[in-house]
Amino acid sequence: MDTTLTTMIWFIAARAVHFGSCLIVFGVCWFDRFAITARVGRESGVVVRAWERIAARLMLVALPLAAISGVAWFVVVAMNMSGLSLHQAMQPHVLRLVFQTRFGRLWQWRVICWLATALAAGGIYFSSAKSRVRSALIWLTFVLGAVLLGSLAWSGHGQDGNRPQWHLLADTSHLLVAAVWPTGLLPFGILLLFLRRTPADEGWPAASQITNRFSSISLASVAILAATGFVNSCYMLRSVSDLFSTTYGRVLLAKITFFLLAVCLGAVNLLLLKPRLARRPAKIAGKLQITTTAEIVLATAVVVVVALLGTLPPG
Amino acid sequence: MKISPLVLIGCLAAAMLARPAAAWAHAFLDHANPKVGSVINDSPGEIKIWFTQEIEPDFSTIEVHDSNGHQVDKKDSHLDAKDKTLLIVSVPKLADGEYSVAWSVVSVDTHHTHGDFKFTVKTKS
Repeated sequence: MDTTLTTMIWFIAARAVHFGSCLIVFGVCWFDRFAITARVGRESGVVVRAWERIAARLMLVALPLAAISGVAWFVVVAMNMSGLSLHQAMQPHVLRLVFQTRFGRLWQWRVICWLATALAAGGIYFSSAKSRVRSALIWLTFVLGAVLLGSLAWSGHGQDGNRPQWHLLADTSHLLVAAVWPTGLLPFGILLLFLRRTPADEGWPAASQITNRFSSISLASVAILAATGFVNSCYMLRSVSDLFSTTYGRVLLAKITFFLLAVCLGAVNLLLLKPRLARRPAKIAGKLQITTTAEIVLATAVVVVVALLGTLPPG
Repeated sequence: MKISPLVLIGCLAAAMLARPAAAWAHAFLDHANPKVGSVINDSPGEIKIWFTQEIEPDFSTIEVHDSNGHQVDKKDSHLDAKDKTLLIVSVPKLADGEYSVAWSVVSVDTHHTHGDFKFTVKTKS
């Protein structure tokens, strides 16, 4: 296979995994603070125990993935910037130059942010910290996870345009809100799966409340994603016809299509399944599980498309 | 509070009208001095190229070659102190003839682009 194509595939893969893992890190923090609230989820011991195990495992997967994909992203950028092979691009004098670029400086800050996030998450899920310390660590991880994710706006097209501050604001908001929905579907789906496999019915009332809460917040997220996505598109496209006539436009159109399909599935959850969950939890939860899984698949497709978009010239 | 669909459409239309100029991301040649394909009467002291986006100086160069393919620039490609989209390279006094300018730059969003153009020096005799 052509070396350039191979490098490009690695680049897109690294970007997709990095976007996905950073979204999960912040998505788990968000879900913990706002979907599993003190009033809702914590009333049920089953839900609390299940959630803590789910959150710990998601963090245990997402944080190392974020580190590995972040390194891979940096390596490919170093090769691309220098025009050198992998071995040559990893020479200290080349790396020093890459670290002096805007991207290199951003990545140094993000490494520090990742380390702090990993330490804070380790304190939450893998130590016996007291509840007040634990709560403080969760909020700290929440903030650090937001920085880790939001700072990705500075790594690509977010800094382009004649008024880049608005583009960066829209791009950062887009990333952070995407961690709420659709990324929040992942912890939600796993929690549902766990509750379906638990024989006791103790967790269903809490699960129903979490579903209600998650649905309401998701609705707002969809609106914000559409608005910030519109602003981003205004920066990246010269006219609506670019959506059909340029490679960037066509790939963006694919992203919008996946997004709209996921919104349609979300509407099925919201309008048809959610109202019936409290009455027939076990049966409806099964259907909810299917639509949620389909939404997660579509969301994954969106992340891959976003990873590809960042490598294409806009217009 | 209910929002009329007309208000929403109005907001959308206003947003479209107030939309920012589209970004180019990958840095491309915006304009140059000497101009692309131009014929100039005097040898320029510098070749200046303005790009569509800010660029990384450590990975950006301009090379000037004469019609025999010999590199004639002073190999001192550098960014303008104030304008981060302007890349400059010095050249000695150029004799009459056609010169090709090859540029290779990395934009601040990490994308690598390159291109070239020609200009001709034809002093008045």
